[in-house]
Amino acid sequence: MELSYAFNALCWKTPAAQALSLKLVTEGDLLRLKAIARLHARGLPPQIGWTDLLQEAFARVLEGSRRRPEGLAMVPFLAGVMRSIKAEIWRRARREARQIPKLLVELQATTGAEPLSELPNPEHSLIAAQELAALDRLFADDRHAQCILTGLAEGLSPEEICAANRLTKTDYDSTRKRIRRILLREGLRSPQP
Amino acid sequence: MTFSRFDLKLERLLLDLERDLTEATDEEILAAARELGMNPAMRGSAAFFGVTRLVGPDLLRKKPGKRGRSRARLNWARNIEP
Repeated sequence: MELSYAFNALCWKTPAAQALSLKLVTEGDLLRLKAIARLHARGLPPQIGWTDLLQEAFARVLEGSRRRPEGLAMVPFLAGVMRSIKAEIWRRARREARQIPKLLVELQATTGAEPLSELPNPEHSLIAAQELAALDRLFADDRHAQCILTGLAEGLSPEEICAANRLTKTDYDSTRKRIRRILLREGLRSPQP
Repeated sequence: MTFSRFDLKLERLLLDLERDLTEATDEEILAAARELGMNPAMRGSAAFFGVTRLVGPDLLRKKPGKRGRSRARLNWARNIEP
């Protein structure tokens, strides 16, 4: 029985596999989206994995609850769907947090006069801080990459990042290529046990 | 204790990196896979774990069968929807 279950599970088509069968995406797109899902899973609550994000995005497209705007390629469209799923997850977490009066009082006390609807979720902030540190560690041997990531997180333009860190355009472009290669490698690696 | 907006910083950064990965060429993807010892052109390549096939905890969490697909779909929905 167990073997039969495992066999069924392996044969069962995921929404992403269905999309591939329907030629909505190519195999290259799937790998690109895998890397993007892994990227966006950074900063999600730990109980939600990158596969949940990726497969849910495909499921929503297949069931028709998300429609692709004309002229938009499938990969950026699905990346946008993943982003909106992620925003839903955090909206839900914020709603749940608001239902705990004690937590609300603490939040008000620690964040001053900010309106409650604008308050960041402490769990969200903590996870985000950890992920920013993890990304920084990923590029621990590459000072230029760290400077660029910090600048992007601050919302600086490429020109501003170059000026602030004395980088030439060539330095910037070649560092962006290294960042992309490492992120792709991180995105495609096998799941950790 | 004050909360700084780490979440906003992370989202800004991820959005930029997402755009970058969206534009990655097939050659770059293949090169990254090769560095990991994977060959995406091979049937059953590990590169597609979690994408076209589920492995690890997902395999145990989702129970396929006659109604497996809809049940798994519901599980995802429960995970992420209010």
